[in-house]
Amino acid sequence: MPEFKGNLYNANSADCQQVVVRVTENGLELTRDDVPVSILPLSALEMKLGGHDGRRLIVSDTTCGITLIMTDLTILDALEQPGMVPAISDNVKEVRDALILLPKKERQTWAIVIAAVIIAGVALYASVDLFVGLAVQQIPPALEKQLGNLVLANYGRNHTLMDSGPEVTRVRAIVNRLAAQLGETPYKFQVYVEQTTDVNAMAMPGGNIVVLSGLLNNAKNDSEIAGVLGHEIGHVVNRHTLRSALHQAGLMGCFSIIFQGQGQDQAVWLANLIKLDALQFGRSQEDDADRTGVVLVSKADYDPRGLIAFFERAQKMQGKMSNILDNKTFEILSTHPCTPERIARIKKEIEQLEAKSNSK
Amino acid sequence: MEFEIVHPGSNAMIIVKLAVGEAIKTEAGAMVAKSTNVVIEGKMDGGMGKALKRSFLGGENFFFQTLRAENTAGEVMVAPAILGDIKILDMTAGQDYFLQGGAFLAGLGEIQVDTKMQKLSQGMFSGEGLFVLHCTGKGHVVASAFGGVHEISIPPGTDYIVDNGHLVAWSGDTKYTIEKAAKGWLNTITSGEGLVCRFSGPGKVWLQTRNPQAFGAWIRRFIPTSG
Repeated sequence: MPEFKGNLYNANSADCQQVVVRVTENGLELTRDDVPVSILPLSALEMKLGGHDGRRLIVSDTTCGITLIMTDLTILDALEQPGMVPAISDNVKEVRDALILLPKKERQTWAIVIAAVIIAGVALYASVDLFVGLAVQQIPPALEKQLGNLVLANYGRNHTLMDSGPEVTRVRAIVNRLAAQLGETPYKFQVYVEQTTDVNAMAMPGGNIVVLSGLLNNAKNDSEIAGVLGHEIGHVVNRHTLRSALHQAGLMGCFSIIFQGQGQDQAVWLANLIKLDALQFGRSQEDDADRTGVVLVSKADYDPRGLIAFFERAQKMQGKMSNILDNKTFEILSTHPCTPERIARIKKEIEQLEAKSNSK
Repeated sequence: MEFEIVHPGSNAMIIVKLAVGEAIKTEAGAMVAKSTNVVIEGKMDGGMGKALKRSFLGGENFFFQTLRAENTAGEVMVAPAILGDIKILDMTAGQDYFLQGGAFLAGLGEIQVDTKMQKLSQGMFSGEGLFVLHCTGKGHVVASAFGGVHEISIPPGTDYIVDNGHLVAWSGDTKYTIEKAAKGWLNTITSGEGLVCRFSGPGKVWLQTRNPQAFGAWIRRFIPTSG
């Protein structure tokens, strides 16, 4: 005869004792340590689902007030055996019907929770950049310039920067020609050249631009240099450093709201999420700078395909020279990956500009 | 395994005496002191899935700490981070308990801790969140509370009302629903009680005598917000 475990509560008591339950024709026989405790007659039983999870069988003896609670619902099979009183069979059917509905309700709850989390997450994420845009407008370019000067001073501690000489003059002429296409701008561009074989250029907030001489030595013409510098000017005028800092601060705020600062584990996940987002955000800023650069270079009558030509050649040279040069030489390719998608986007931008220009 | 609560009340701590090979499971970082032969292991407990659920949904740490007496008998002291009492819940009679997220301090014996989703209404309005901890197994569960711990017995066929935010633990055989504290929404709002939990017996509920959210709100009144 199958046995089931149950928690037995006497009338007016909240203390339970664990009993073993057997189903017989007389009723439910309850024993504890093989000692009979009680027999609950089938005709006096009422059954329903209950407990915190709603999946427990609550059996009440209406005559003596005893309540039996069981988590093993296979007892329902035993109660459906032939010979049971009809009232019990009907009651078992009601319980089984209620059981069928439970998974559906749980699925509905999960669906609502997941949908709410996704909607809240997307809404928060989308609103971060909206508020970042508003916040950026409140920060004066003069403050950016101060920040840029600090960054430059810090960079200058470990690198020798020149602000005069033929290379600086060449770069300054290109930058001035590009900047002239911006129209009225609060940014004044300062150009510095660092003597090194490394190939790269970088823009700091407020308009400080550092060009590594390896870039000048590896470029075939001014159009190629203008392509890179137009991109860097794009970072400055679109205030990318400031936006990036505010975007990350905003995301930290959003994640803190979502996770309510629950422990160190979440902080680790949070840091990784922010790193992933920074990669994505950085890529979108690179595209943004490319677009601005292409427009400036075209307007300044340089060849806008110079940027593509330079990057493609740099990539080929890096491949050929990887055995004799360290990876740092073409650092520009790691900070500005020359992916086929990026090249395709720049080409499309150029074509659109040319089509617009031809239609005038 | 023997245990006793010392300094009951606001600064309660539990001292557990372990026989050789015996171990307890505690919330990460809950150990206060131990004898030298008790070794500490950080475990996910229940595998990656359960650990992730417990950490992200249940408000507990990703890892549990296991403190085991090796070679000789040992002693370990465990205390919660917050000010308040602790309660030992007996599971020797086959009971199971639900704990509010963060209330689990230690498991003495073969205790499993999982995360369970409540009904939406319970998750949104009980003050305990959508996910609560479910403790099963054989032994004792140690729960921590903010303030004192008070036990309420609810016999079969009777109900008891508990203000949300005061729940610490409840036996798995009880169920609760969310309802208005007073008749009509106006009375509910003006009474300051808002929504409450109606527990149905049989079973027991353990309350914390202070509401952490209410205490936080009270503290915030005294924090200068400018100049």
